[in-house]
This record gives sequence, structure tokens and C-alpha cells, in this order.
Amino acid sequence: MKYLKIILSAAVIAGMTIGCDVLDSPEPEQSLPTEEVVNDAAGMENLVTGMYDGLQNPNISGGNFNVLPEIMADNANWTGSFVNYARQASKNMLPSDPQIEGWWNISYREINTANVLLQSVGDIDDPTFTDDDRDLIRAEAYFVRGMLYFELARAYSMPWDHTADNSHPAVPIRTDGVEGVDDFEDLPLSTISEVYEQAESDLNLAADLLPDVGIRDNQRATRYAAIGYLKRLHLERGEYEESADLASEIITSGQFSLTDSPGGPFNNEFSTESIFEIIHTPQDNPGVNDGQNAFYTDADRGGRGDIQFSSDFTNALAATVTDEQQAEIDAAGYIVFDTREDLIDRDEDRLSTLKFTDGTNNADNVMNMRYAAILLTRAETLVETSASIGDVPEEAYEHLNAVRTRSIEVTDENGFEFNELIEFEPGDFDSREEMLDAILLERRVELAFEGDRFYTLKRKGLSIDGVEPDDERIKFPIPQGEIDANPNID
Amino acid sequence: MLKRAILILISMAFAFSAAAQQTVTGVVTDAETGEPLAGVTVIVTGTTVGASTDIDGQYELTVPEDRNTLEFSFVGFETIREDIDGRSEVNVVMGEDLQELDDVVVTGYGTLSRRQVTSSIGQVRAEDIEDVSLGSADQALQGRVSGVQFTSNTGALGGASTIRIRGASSITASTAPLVVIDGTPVTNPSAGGSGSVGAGLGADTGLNPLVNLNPNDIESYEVLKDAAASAIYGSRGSNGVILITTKQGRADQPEINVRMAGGFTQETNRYDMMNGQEFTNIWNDAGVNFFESAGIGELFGVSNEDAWFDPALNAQIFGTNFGLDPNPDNIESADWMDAVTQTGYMHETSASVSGGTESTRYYLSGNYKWEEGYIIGNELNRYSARLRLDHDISDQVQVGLSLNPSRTDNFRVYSSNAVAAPYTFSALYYPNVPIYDDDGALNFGVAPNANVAFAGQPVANIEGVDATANITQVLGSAYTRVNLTENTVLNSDFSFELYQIQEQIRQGDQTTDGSPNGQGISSNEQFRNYNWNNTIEYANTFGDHNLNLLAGISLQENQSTSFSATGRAFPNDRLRNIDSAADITGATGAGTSFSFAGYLSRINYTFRDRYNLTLTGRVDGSSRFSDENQYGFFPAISAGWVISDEDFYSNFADYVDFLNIRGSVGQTGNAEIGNFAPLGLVGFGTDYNSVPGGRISQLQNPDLRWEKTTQYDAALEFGIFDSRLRGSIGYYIKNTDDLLLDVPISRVNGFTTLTDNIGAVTNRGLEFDLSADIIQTEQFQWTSSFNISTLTNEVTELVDGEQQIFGQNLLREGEPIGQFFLVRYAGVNSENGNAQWLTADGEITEEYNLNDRVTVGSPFPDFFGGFTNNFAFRNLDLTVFFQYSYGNDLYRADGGFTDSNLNSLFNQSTRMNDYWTPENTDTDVPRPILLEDNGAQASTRYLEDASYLRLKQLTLGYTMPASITGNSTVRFYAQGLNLLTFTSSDFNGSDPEAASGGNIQATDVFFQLPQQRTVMLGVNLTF
Repeated sequence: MKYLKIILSAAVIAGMTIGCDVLDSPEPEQSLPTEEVVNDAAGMENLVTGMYDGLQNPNISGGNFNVLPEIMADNANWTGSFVNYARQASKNMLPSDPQIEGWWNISYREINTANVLLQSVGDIDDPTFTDDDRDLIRAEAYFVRGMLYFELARAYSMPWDHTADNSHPAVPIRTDGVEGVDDFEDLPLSTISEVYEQAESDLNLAADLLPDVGIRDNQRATRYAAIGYLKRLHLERGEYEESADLASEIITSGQFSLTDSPGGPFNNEFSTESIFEIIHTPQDNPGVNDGQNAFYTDADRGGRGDIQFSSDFTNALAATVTDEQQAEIDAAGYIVFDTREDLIDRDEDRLSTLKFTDGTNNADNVMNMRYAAILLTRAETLVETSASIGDVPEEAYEHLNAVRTRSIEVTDENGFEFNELIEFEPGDFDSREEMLDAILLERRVELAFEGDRFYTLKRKGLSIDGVEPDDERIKFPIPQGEIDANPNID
Repeated sequence: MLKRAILILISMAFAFSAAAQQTVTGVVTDAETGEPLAGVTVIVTGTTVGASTDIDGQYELTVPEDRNTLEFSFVGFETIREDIDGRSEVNVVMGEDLQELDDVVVTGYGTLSRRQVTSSIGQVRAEDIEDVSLGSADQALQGRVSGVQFTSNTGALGGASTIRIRGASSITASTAPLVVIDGTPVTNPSAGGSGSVGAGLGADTGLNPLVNLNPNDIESYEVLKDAAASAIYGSRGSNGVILITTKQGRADQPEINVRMAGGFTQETNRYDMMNGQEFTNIWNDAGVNFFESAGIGELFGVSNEDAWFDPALNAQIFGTNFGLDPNPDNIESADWMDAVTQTGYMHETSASVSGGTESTRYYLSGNYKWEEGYIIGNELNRYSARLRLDHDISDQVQVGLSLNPSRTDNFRVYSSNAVAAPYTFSALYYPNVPIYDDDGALNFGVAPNANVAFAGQPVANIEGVDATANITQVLGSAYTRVNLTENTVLNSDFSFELYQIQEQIRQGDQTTDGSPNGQGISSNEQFRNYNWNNTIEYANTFGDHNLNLLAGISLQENQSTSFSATGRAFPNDRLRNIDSAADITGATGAGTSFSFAGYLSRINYTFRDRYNLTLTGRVDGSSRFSDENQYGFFPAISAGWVISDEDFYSNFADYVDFLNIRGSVGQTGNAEIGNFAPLGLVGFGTDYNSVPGGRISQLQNPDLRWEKTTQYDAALEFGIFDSRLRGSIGYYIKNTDDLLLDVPISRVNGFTTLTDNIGAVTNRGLEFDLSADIIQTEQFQWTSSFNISTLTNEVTELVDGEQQIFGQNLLREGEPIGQFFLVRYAGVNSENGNAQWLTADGEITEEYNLNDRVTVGSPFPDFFGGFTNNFAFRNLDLTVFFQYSYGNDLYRADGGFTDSNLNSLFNQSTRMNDYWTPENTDTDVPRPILLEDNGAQASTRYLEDASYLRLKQLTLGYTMPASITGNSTVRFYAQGLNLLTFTSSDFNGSDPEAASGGNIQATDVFFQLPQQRTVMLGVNLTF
């Protein structure tokens, strides 16, 4: 008995000394500590994938990069119930609108990921992690950062020429990563010139380091995607020579070609025309209330049908064949048909585009950049850099025609094709302006509902659905949340 | 001569040393009956030496040298202190203690006698809730303990509840108190959450984690309210602690108790919605008004009325004809709310047997409860068994074991903000649509006003939806108690809790969420909770000084895992399991864990039995805190003075025979932060194109720590008229700072908020408890008890003094948490029927502007409490228990649907029948205009006074005379729960007792299910 007492007492006292170990055992099971991940090659790869997952977010390239500029322009009308999108379409955005906050917040979230990658990739101590591996990670980070700074600046500032020295405010620039509470900063807005410079530098580095192929195994950004963004950036700044050269680089690479039908890039993922797409899958997509499929796909096809094409657009579609060309075709007794008619549904209950029809799974990829746009840009820039209509090189007409003949069919009663009747040749236009109008019309119809129209009108100084480009209403307001939290922005 | 003297001396010396330890025996009898009393605790005062009397009332003790007093105590009897004075046999007669029926109060890690308690502890004992069929064990606290505010979130069976002890002291962290069952802190499933488990079916109606606990097994609840009481729980004591002590056996004849009850359940209230005719009238009028405001009549050159009732013209405007046939003969009327509700039935059987010998005591119980709710399909079955064994291995060593397996099967219903919620959907659905078509099948036809918002209909959603939650819980513990010396006790107890909730939700083809071909969700969540407490206690008396020291270590580890899978496209509604789904659309699986280690100490010092002092200190560490802040120190001090024991007091003793003044100050913490909150983390699952990806999900914040509360408490306890009237009045101030708040930061940093310890909140209040034995004659007894508490809650510090708005509620310095912030509704302009509001300056305007919002109303009550009366007349007994709350408001968000004068295209409340027309201008219901916001915007129109007085319990019982039943007791009773509810005339909701979970928006409710009324008959047998 006495021994029992001693044993029990000893056991109890022993129990009293275990305390400290208990506190160390719990560890997070679904997460890893940040220091571990940024110091590990596999962790770096995970973060890069996570960065692309961020691009899938419907607030940015997974949806709104396409949707928001499109409803603000003249090809599409917003008819849905979300009042914040209605405000966007009428260009009366509020700083507290969720889509305004979302584009900003998610962009900076992924810019931070890129910053963290760039600052940590050099320090990883792993012999199997080669310099090529490091460079590829840098490449991805530079691309995403450059792309996002460009898209932020384009949206949240007035056009390039709004001030003579391009010093009007755009967005803050941050290039060092935030991993802990001590890294916070309250940065002021930088000028549009500074932000575009940052984006240009990032995209140039990306173009140097990304793989020189038309499509990669993992279907992520390639060198040509970076060049394509650089081309867009130069266009924003009205630098037609540089963007002409960049467009030419893509064209002469031989990596891309137009698909047989205008629906090709949309019915097939990663077609020969695709330069950069954001991937959505049935398991991994924005869902039924957000994103491209939710808004563009009509209710009969499983979407919300919130965006319908405008009568302005159908007028433009009808005008792709000029009166002279129509007259020639009629005289020959042929029929002309713009097959891009098959890409819209004119039923008055729907009035929808058929480029995105997956209302069941909401898994259509988002087409960010395709070859048709490059051809049209090359044509446009060649005209812009020519002194007069007579100086415009044949190449410009070639590219314009390539895009047209892919879509517009001229046939006789036996089905033989006579597409040359809708081609343009030197002499068809009396002035550069006339040819530019034809190129822009083609661009409008070809790239409708892909997020291009708004930016084209803006950079050309044309009025956007009745609102002039010097009107503050076309600029996205700085989000309320940022103004509230950042004393250096008011 | 000398030799003999030496021999005598020596033998005397032996005699003395023999007398160093003395054996004392005796018998304890009942003063009234003369019968021996078994199970009486006999202690040698000032030591830990003790024993219990056996069946014959006999005890035997080995009394150490220099001790002279024995203390006899037994529940329900006056404690007796008797000096030994050299006797070897000490017999004692014990009389019933009418005044304080219980001398023992359970505190953290020990017990105290009531006289020694210097902190604020509320108590509910088993007899207070005897035979009451509680929905869940925590409901016993409602209205019975001052300072405790208990709200059932919903009337669904097994639903979660919101308990606040002395106000809400957190904004983002949890405000739920710590629940400790027999020394084991039990699962608090969601750190920072509302204290519920399981899926939220509709807005946050999770399940109550205590629903498995059988209330019949509970001996007492102690609520530790102030810091001095809860500091012993260190970093988890800020929100108060609820100690639940379960029943144990006594050394006595086996006592068998069987209770059976059965009855029916009903809703206490139901929304009064329009019938077909009323709806048709308001719909058509609203339609004509819409045409008028849109100028349709003018456009077509006809009157607006003609235009509305012209099907072709109407269809031109809307796409299809929105007009309703006004002919009463053609109007259907269906009572959808009636179709989804029922009178439910319930039945409960409980049995227990307890008893023991001097060395072994046992308690065994079982319980089965089956209950149907008032919503068709809502049902809860509970099965529970408990075994408790205590065994004395020797005089010094005692061991014990307790095991409590239980299971509940809860057939749940959706509630609140979900189309699948029967109560919500049936209130809103069109009354002019028949429920069944001519063939008797469910009618899915389009409403006559051609507006179909959702697939499915309310009855189909009940019949086609199965949401079952099976909760299995096993609580087990084992302890060893060793009397190291006569003054020192070592106690070690180890306990575990296994809690598993398995949910299966299946929505059929024809339901709103399941169409077109069904959906199923299967999930499983498991918590494992391990505790090990080791304490040393030393008790001694030195003359007038009594000292009790406690030191110990408490370790806890908690692990949880969860899994769920969702599938769509089922071939047939009869196939319930995920295997049958053609498409697995998602699956999740996760796990987490946390641990606590605390070193606790307490000193209780009593001088001359009337001056009490307690010092407590606990050093608490948790895996949730960073290495820099791993441990915190939580001290408290409390003191009390039994004034009535003083010599100078004898003059006043005739008036107030018991007077005790006490006060305390201390510090506790709230550790309900995330399990890994200070760490910088990368989360995964952010994959792209089927490649696994990660993203920084949490920023490193090593300074992040628990919230801290400093509490001051003072109280006066009194007994008047021979303590027939007794009570206490106290005041507390609770200051909490280092609150966890989400601070908005510049998004350029890659994140939108940062969680930091940065806010402060204060709670203050008065607590008053009163008990009276009003009439105590042999034939008739009447006792009464009353408690009232006031509460003032105020946010004293926020980030940069900035206010934050969450829907209709506000966080602002100087206001209570979740203060309402609304535009004020000012009725209707009698000239044109337009809704009116007050601007911020108080002027009437017809323009609604969010800038005119002001703080209005109050989310917290001004005062709350309960009032119980017990009557006994011969063999009859009657208990009447009222519970009340005054001064709290609720924002009834469903008003924007039911009282919207057809801004929302759903059925309207009958209050809307009084809508403005040129003939009916004196009303506060605006002119209905289809689709237009005429008064349906968020405003004080939907802010209602939720003060209430509720007859919570009414029980009438009859105990059969002892002449018939002999030693057994047979009692029949009839009981009603929630029989009557009195609310303010301003209140239009379904139940003033409702909460949405969370801290800031808890008072923003949407179609909460009203509480359930239960009426039952039962019988209680003891033999």
C-alpha cells in the first residue's frame, strides 16, 4: 500500500513536467510556413502556379479584363441585374463598386507574389535548382507583373496624351515583396509615364527569358505573349514604329496562323491563332455568377445572359463589305456572307455572342491575345507610319485581307469561292484615314466581346459610346478601400 | 517508590503517545425522522482526512494529534461542527437546512463552501431543472443566473445558441464562454466562430455542440462570472466559464429513478401572410401604379387601369401578362405556411440507478429522447448513457472513472436565408397558386402573375430535401486522488472527448437547389480532445487561520479533421449516396490542431472564519501564440468579509442576519484566435491547369496575442428574516483591450486587411439576485426567486477611431458593438402615398439617402433576467418561471420582403393590406408600386423593439401520498414550455428571441424560426 502511494505520487509529479512539449506539436496541416516555401525550389514552383491561379480570378484576366471594357464601349450593352455593372456600362462607376475594388486588389495581390518570387529566387540553396530554372521563374514573374501594371495603368488613369508630359497620376508602383507585417508601406500614385516604364522594363525582361515557342507544354505565357503586351503598351503611347516592329516579330516567327473559321479560336482551346489564353476548367472556374460565361452566355444556353450586343455592332457587322464591293458582287450574281454572323445569336430574347457558350460548366478559356489582332495592328501601324496613302506598303493590305477572307465568303450558286472580291488593294482608299477606318472597322467586328474596343477608341481619341476620352468618367476611380487605408492617396 | 513513579511516568508517556492518533466512530441521524443518514461527509476540520457514513449512518475516522473538531456536511442539511474533546464516539443529529440548501460551490479545480466564496459565481442546481425537458443542456441557464444572457438562435431542433456572460467583450474573436464538464474543457469547434458545429443550412444556423449532453445527468452548473473566478482558466476565461458537474453515486441503498414524458410541440408564432384575394388586390393596384409612374397609359392613350387589365397590352410591356384576374371566383388561395408546419410529438425516457458501499459508489443512467419539431420533417433523436464509478482503494487513495457515450440523429431543416428553407419560402410563395394540381401531385406551375423567381415550391422543398446530422460523442475520464499526508492531496485526472458529426444532405430533382437532377453533399468532421490535470492541494488550520493552497498543471490537446464531397446528377431521388452521382463536383479535406499548457496556483486564506482572501495566478501558454508571446500571466485577487459574524454586528442581527461584502479584481484572456494566427503561411489549393499551386495566405505577425480583460467586481450578500429573504447585489466593470480587429491596409501591399490587437471594449452592469421563502407552513409553501441584470456595452477604441459599417450595424467608438445605423423611416405622405424619411437633421424628405443614417436603437438589452415561483400545497406543486429581456432591438431584414408593399415580388404580410390609396390616406404603409422601392429600403421601418416577457415554464405536479407509495416516490406532472410570450406592440417578427450568430450582426435576423412550444405529461418514479 505504501509503495502504491509512492508510485502514484511519483507518476503524478512526473506528469507535471511534460507541459512544454505539448505546445510545440500542433502544426498547420493545409499550409506551410512562408519562409520554408520561399527558400525551396518546389515551393517557388508552387507560388508561380498560384500566381497563374490568380490570373484566373474573374476580377482580372479571368473575366473582367474582357467584360468591363467591353460593356463600357459600343459593341455591347449590359442588361443584367447587377447594378454595379450597370454603372460601369454607363461610365458612372463608384469608388466602392466591387469590380473596381476587385481589379485593383487582385492585381496587387499577384504583383506581390511576383515581387516575392523575384526577391527570393536568387537565394535558394539547392544544387538541382539550375540557373535556367531560376530564369524561368523570373520570366514568369516579370511577365505577370508587367502585364498587371500595364492593365492597371490603362484602366485607372486618363489616356496617355491627357497631359503633355504624361505626368497625370496612374497607380502606385511597388517592386519589393511583402511577407510580414514589417514590410508594409503606404505608397502614393505614380505617373502614367512611370508605370508604363515599369511595365515596359518587366515585359522586356520577360521577353528575353520566356521560352521562344508558340505554345508551351504547360500552356503558360511565351515570349510572344510578352512581345504582344509590349506591342499593346507602345500602341497606348502612340509609338507606332515600335509596335509595328513588335507585331512584325510575332508575324515572322511563323509560330501562329489564322484558323479556318472565325469561331476556331473559341471552339478549340489553344488553336494555331492563340497567343495567350487563361485556362478555366469544369472544376476550376469562376462559377455561375461571375466571369465571361456567366455574363455573355445567354440564359437558354445556361448563362445569365447579362450582356447583349448592340445595334451599333450589328450595323458595323453589316458594313464590313463596302458598298463598292457589294456592287461588284451583285453584278457578278454572287452571294456574300460574313461568317461572323454565325458568332452571334440574333434572336431577340438572346442577342448574345456565341464566342462563349459553355453555360453548363462555365469553363470556356479567356482569350487574352490572338493572332488576328497582331495582323490588324501591323496593318494599322504600317498605315500610321506612312506619310500618305500611296506610301502604305502592300503588307498592310495583305494582313487586312487575310483577316477578312478568313471570315467573309463570296460564293456562286455552285459553291465556288471568289473571296478576292472582298479584298482591298492599293487604290481602293483615297486617304490614310479611309484605310484606317476600314482597319478599325475590321478590328471592331473581329475582336468584338474580347475587351479590345474600349482601348482602341481611347487611344485613338475617339468618343466612347457618347463620352469623350478626356472625360474623367472613362477612368476607373481609385477604390474606396485604398483611399480609406492609404493616407498618401486621397 | 521512585521506580513506581518512573513506571507510571513511562506508562503515561506511552498512553500519551498512543493518544497521538485516535480513532473516532459515531452515527449520524436525521433530526426529523431519527433514521440514520448515509453518505454524510465527515471531515477532521483543518485537514483532508475524511470519510462518508455508510448505510447505517456509521463512520470511522483516524483523527490526528492536536485536532479536535469534526465537520459533518450533507446536501440539504445544516453543516455541524462538533468538538471531539477526547471522546471516541461522536454521534450527531443533523437537521434540514432550510436556508441554504447547498453549502458547496464548485469552483475551478476544486470546491468551496458558500461562506468562503469571494468571487462572483452563479449556480443552477439539478432540482431547479428537474423534470424540465430541455432542448439542450445549456438552456438551463436562461433567466436563472444574473449576468448571463442566453438567446436561442433559432427554433429548429438542436440549433445553436448565443450565450454571453456579462456582455460581449470581443468583436472578431468568439464571445462564447468556456464550457468545462467535470474538469474537461469541451470542444469549441470554430475558433473565432459563433460556437456552433455542422453545416449552416441557410444563414448560420449551425448545431449546438452541447445537444448530446443529457441534462438529467447534471448535478449543478456553476457560472464563473468575474475574473477572480475565471482567472484560474487563464487565457480562456475572458468570456466567463460554465462549469458543469455531473451526478455521482453515494454510499447508500441503490436509488432507481425513472422518468417518462410525452407531449406535443407547436410553433409559438406564425407570420400572417396575405391570402389569394388580398394578394390579387395589392398586386393589381401595384401594377396599375407602376403603369402610372411609367406613363404607360398615356403612351397608349387609355387609362392605366384599362392598360393593366388588358392582357395583350400588359404582355407587350412585360413580355407576358403580369395582370391578375380580379374575379374572386377565379382566385385560388393556398395556405403554404400551414402546408409545411405540423403539430409534432415528443417522448422522453430517462432512467438512472445510483448507490454504493462505503468504498465504492456508482451512478448509471440512460436517456432516450425523440422529438418532432413543428416544421414537417424536423426531428431529433437522442440516445445517451453514462457510467460513473468512484472507488476507495484505501483510506488514502481514491480512483474513479466516468464514461458517457451519446448520439443524436438530427433530421434538420433549412432556415433563414435560403430558398430551401420551408418557413422562409412558404411565407413568400404566392398564395394564389394551389399546392397540388387536380391529380393530387405537387403543382409546379407558373404563378398566374407569370413571375417565377426560383425553381421548385415549398412543399416540394420539404419532401425532396433530406439533411441529416448524426453526432456521436464519447466523453470519458479517469482520476486518481491520493492523500499524501493528512493535509495534502494529490489529484490527477485524464479525460478525452471524441466528437464526430456526420452530415448527409440530399436534394431531389424537383427541389430548388437540386434541380434539374439532384445534388448530394456528404461530410464528416471529427474532434479529439485530450486533457490532463494534475493538482496538489494543501489544507491546514493554525488557530484562527485557515489556509488552502492549490498548485497544478493543466494540459490540453485538441485535433480535428474534416472531409466532404459534393455530387450532382443523380439518376433517381431514391439513391442517397455520393457513389450514385454522375459528377463529383467537389471534395475537401482538412485538419487542424491546438494545445494549451497552464501552470495554475491559488491561495485561499480565511481568518476567524469571517475574513476571506483568495489569490489566483495562472501562467498559460498555447500553441496558438507565437514564440515571442507564448506565455501570459493571469492573476486575480478577491476578498470577502462576513460582517454578520462580527461581535459588533449583534445589534443588527435581528434585522439582517447575514451580511457579506466581497470584491475582486483580476485579469483573464480570450485565446479564441485562429490556431496559427501569428505565422506567415502559404496556403494551397490554388492550382492552375491541374498543376498544384500555392499562395501567401497569411502574413507573419509575431506580436499577435490573446485579448485581455481586466475585471472589477464588488457585491453585497445578505440574508433577512432569518435568511428567509436572501440575495445579493453586485456591480462589475469589465475592460477588454488588445481586441483582435481586421485593420484595413493599403492594398498595394498585396493584402486588404491585417489582423492585429488593437481595439478595446467595456462592459458594465448591475446584478441583483433575490430568493425568498415567502410562506413556509406544513400545508403550503411558496418560494420565489428573482434576478435582474443591467448591461452597458461600449466600444472604447477602434483602429484610428475609424468607424466600420457592416450592413445595418456599426462599429464606432462610444457606441455598443453592432449599434444600428439606419435611415429613419417617417411614415407616409398622406397626400401621395410616398414613403418619407428623416434627414440627419431631422427634416422630413421623400428622398432616401444613405448619408441620412444615424445611430438608433440598441442591440443590447437595458436589463434582463428571470422570475421563478414555486408553490407546494400538500401533494401538489406548481412552478411558474418567467424570463424577460427589455430594451433590445432586432433588425428584421425579412421586412424588406414581407413588408415591402410589393417592391419585392413575393407574398406580403397582411399588414400591407393597409396600403395607401386615395381613399385610405391615413396609414403608414406606402403606396404599392410594382418593382419600385417605395419604402422598402433598409431603414428603421424594419427595426423593431424585441423586448419580451415569456412564460418559459409552467409545471403542475402531483406526488402520490407516501401512505400508498411507501419508500418510493411517484410524481405525475403536466408541463408547458414557452406557453406565453408577451412582446412589444412594435414587434412584427416571428420571435423576439433570435440571433444570427457573430458579434456585430447578431441582431440582423432574417426569417428566424420561432421558438417551439411544448406541452407534455410525465411521470417520475424514484425507488
